[in-house]
Amino acid sequence: MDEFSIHAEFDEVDDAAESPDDATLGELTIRAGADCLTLNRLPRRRLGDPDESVYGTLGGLAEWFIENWAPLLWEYHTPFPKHPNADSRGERPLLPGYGTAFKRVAEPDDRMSEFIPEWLEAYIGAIPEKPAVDDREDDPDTADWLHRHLVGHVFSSLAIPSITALSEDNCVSLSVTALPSSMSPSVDFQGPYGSTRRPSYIVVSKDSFKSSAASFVDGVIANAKSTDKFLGWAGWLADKWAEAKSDESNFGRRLFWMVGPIGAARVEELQLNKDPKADGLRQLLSDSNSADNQLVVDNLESMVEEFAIRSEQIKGSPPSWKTAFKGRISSDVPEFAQGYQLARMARRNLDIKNSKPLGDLAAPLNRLDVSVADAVPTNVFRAAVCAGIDRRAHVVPSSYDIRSQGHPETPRTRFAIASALGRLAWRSRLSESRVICCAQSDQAMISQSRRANAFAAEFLLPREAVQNLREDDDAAFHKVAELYGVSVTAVKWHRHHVANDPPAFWFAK
Amino acid sequence: MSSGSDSASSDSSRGVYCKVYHSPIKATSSPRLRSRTQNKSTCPPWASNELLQQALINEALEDTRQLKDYLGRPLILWNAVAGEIFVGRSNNTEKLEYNCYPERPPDGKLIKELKRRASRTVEEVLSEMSTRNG
Repeated sequence: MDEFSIHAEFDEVDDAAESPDDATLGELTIRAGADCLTLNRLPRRRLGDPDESVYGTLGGLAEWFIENWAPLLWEYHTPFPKHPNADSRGERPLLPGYGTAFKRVAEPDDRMSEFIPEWLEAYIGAIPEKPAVDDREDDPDTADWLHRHLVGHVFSSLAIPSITALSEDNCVSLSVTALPSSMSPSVDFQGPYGSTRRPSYIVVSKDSFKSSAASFVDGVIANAKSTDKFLGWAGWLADKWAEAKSDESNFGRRLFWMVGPIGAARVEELQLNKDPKADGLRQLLSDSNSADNQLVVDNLESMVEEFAIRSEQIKGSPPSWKTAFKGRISSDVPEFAQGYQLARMARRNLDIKNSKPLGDLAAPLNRLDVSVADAVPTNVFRAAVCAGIDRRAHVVPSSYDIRSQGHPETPRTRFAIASALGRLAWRSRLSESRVICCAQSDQAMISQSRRANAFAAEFLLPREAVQNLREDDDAAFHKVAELYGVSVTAVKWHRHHVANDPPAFWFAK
Repeated sequence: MSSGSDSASSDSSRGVYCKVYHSPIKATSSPRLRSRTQNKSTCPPWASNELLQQALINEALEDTRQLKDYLGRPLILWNAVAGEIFVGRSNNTEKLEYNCYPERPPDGKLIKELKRRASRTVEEVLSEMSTRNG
């Protein structure tokens, strides 16, 4: 996980300044780890070193942060399905932004409408019911969501790349790409390798995102206050900033953005009564589709009660799922690579050879003190996992999928169950919470889904099973798929990753 | 505010003052202001027509979040013509002026109306304005 930084170098306020914005002129540099997101050249210039900063009025960007502070940090759900592996092709941004979600009205461009993630069905278990994000130019909900998450949108005309920020627990997922040429930006944003910036997905720590953005806003206000000319505006902005920070720090408001008003009301009520279900319900709602509905909230609460709070207590020692996933995982690799490493660790700790198919999942799960519950008829997740800290954990598949109907032996359900186990595995390493609940759904957190889905792929189908497959040997793909209980498409994709990703992604240093 | 282009939505007290990049560089402009600012979008050349700018700002739609500027006036306005959607952001000055530039996506609740407006030609907007002005 990278650190995020926004650095501003302000000019002295010019006597010619005509409006408050002009008192915020300066250079802006945005970085995510070593990646300078504002690296740019003038259009059509190829010689000389690129600039790391952009220059302009920074007040609009500060206003954007102020206006959207709470949702930026706490709104987890999106009005479109999240496709955690959708940037595997590296051809388009993971989230909508400038130039991807909305096109010039008079010049429709349907190139992207061909994007059908056919592999997605096998990999995460569903063809999205709604069109891919690129085709949603008329969707009011997506437009309004972008107001809150596309950095600087509407408030600022300053050239910065298209940065869509989605907060998730302790991290912020950034989908970054160059501004489209159709907007005629006055600079061309560059990628780390010297050409126009390609879509990229970057995970940064939420603490660094929040503190850096807050320092930036503080700096803008302080600079505007340095001249008497715009003191009134600077004071007004400072008041709005204080209100925004107060709103963001309110627990109830955070819950509102995380899980919607109905779920928030129930979680808050449970929290007030010190009911241990509160944390589990909040976690489950955060990961589930369209959960802001009383019946859904009630059903999820019952699941937390049955499968986490009142589950069978493991006496004498911690449950195996608490201890089986301890060990070194590289911190300097992408989260999906952490999923591969975690899966190999799970196989090792369960004494399962890396080339061995798992067959019935119930046996290895049982050794981890994890049971697979009967499928429940819900469309808010494909599989959920609930665990009390000293109790047997339960994976709960959904029977909603018309093809698998939640039968644990079908490839789709096996993948969903293994992905849910991957979420539990990762959370068991980190969580201090008494209850761990997560779900695999179209609204599950992206970075966690990428890790969990990679875990599922490697756990069910280790690299040894696919590394020697020839790309054109369809018969072999079918044979492996049948043997390992996964779909043919999953075999093809996993083989593709094994062939193209560095071995360091699989083996912790 | 009405979402149609009826006269009820017209406000001729508004002005357009595109501070740096969309207006012609003048000798009196600060060198710093006129030479270096970098912008995410640029207006098409036909948008420099001041009559058109005034027509668009007069009939612009207020953002449905109804955000206010420092002096309590609409902070953000939207309008569209010739396939381009523009946002106007108040300059927060005593005189009510908006800095305007192409932006997308627009306010979700205004998409339908802005798409309709975007299908108009520049000539249609100018002609409509001159009809209104008699």
